[in-house]
Amino acid sequence: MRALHAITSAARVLWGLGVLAFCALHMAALVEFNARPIGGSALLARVTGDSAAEDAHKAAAAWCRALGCEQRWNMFSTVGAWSAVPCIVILRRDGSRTLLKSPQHGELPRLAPGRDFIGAELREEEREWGWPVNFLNGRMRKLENNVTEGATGYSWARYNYVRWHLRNYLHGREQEAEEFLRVDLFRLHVRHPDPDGPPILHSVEHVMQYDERHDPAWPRHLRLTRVP
Amino acid sequence: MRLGRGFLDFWFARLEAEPAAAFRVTLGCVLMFDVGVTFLPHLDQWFGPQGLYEAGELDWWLAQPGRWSLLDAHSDLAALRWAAVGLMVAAYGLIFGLGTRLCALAAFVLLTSFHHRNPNILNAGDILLRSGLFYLALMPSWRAWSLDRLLGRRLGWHAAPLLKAWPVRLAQIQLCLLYLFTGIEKCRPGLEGDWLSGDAVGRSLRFVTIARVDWFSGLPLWLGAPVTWLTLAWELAFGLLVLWQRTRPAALAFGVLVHAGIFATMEVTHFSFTILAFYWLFVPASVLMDMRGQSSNGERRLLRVFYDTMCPVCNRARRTLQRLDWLGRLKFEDLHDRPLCEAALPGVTYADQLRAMYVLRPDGRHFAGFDALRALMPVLPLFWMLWPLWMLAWLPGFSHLGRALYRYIARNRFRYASCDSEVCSLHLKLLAGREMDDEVVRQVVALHERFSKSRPQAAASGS
Repeated sequence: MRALHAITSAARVLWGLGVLAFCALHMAALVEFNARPIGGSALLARVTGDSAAEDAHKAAAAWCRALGCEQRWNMFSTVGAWSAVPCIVILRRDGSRTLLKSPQHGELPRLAPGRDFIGAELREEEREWGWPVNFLNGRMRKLENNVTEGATGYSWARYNYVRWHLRNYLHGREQEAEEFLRVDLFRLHVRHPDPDGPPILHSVEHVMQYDERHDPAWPRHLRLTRVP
Repeated sequence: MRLGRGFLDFWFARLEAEPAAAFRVTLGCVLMFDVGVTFLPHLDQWFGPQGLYEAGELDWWLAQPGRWSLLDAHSDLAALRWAAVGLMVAAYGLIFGLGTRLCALAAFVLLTSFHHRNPNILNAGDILLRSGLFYLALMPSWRAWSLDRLLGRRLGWHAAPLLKAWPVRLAQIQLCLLYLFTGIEKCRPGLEGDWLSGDAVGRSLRFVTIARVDWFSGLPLWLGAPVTWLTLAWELAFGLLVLWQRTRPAALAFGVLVHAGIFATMEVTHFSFTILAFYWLFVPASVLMDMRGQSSNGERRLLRVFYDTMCPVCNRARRTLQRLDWLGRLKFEDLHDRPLCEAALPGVTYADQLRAMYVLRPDGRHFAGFDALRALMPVLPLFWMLWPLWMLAWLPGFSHLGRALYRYIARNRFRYASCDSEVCSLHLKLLAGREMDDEVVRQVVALHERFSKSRPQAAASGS
């Protein structure tokens, strides 16, 4: 009986120590992961050395990823006065262009026909940008945010985004692909409104050309790119 | 030694399970909405092998240390559908508390699998939701408000509605760290100075792709500056504010208003609701039990309201409260019944009760005046609908104003009370703006004797 009691007590103590160790590791990982971008890693490196700090970060990142807690809580730390919205432009043989965009954006201006990819009128003239009602479109917005404003490491996300839109567009009308000359992704820069004005489509920036020949996931029989 | 004891208590004390149960139910509702509205209609496009990411395209991302998914890119549409159904079942399980621990674990595993299948559509609320599910899987939240507990009792297994503190503490610390690091990020030099300059709230309302509508885009930026600075200060101080019991209600009330405002004006999916789920972990279990009207052992919980039956203003207030008491949570007592009041409220004098209405909660805490009205709000369903008023009542400026207003009205009842008897008029004049010394109390007692004799039934019912 005494032995059983001793074993139970010892197990309880071990369990408690295990819980405390887990809690300590978890909190340390959270703090390291969040403090690193704001100078925490430099501080740690001064105490433990660069190599140990780097190892600590790798361990913390792996821990946070495994437990689903890898998030920097810097939402809205910079609000800024601009938004960037992606727009896919399909240039056809007859010079016309089709704009592919997600439904959450306001109407985009009509583009005059011509060989120019996006149209001089968009480059030279600021236009009023329609403010859509933002409701239940948070996921699409986040996706497009990563496509347009992510670092260069997000180029893979851009390829997928364009491919996905093209696939949806050509569903049921694959024969239209015969008319395509090239497909490009543009970034539309929208300036947030002043107190006395609407939001403005300020400028257009070419991000990349989508060349399906470099995309192993694109069906081989559907050719899209006919001009470089 | 005391420090050690305190440390161990912080992590291993037994806490009542109601806050964890409320946390569980809220997360279950959020999960149900998230999966039902944002995942299911777009399952193929977001997560399918022929959707946004072809089979194998994200293998390099999944290969990072710590990343895992049961739904790698090779999963077909049928597997995705089953996984989504599993998530919905887990959500219902959490809401009703059936197979609670298993559902929490399943929800965490499946949701993380979906998230790691396509990370490009995730917002901060998604990460917070899966963090919450992780902490929930560690908590025995089934110990309150659950079918698991009900079934256990039927089978003769009586588990106390208590749980060890440590998983709750982890979730609480997660929230505090969230606000702390958010606040620090907003103060960093070299950024556009939106928060320190006071422009952030105004600019957020002009954010074309996030702000719901353009109604507020015309407001000048300086108008949002007080809210910007207050929000920043609150985020930085949140951990300390919730640590101290006196400031905790105000900190939480401010947070509810902030996140409700964010949800009303910005499209941030379910972030506001997910973060507010964590707030339940800071709410005392007694408040939740009062709202439910039942203790953990099934006993009915009533709040006792002590009021002046001789005062027409108080009687009118009592009638109003009775009308608002849709769930039958209030019991009214006559403060002139001294034996009853002295037993129920030891340490509260007759003079104190003549100055203000008192409310006695089942946990033994009592409140007076405006604080008493505030203590009634959790049990009056109208205030669940008018919750902004309820939250405002806890904020420092508003609560001071409320107390001052109550004291003024209490002292000047005679100005707008319509008395139908000499006793009533004399009584109110006695109470108006005078110190409640023994002589005044003696006169009130004499008046009450006259009042009781003249209207014995009215005096008994308090009408």
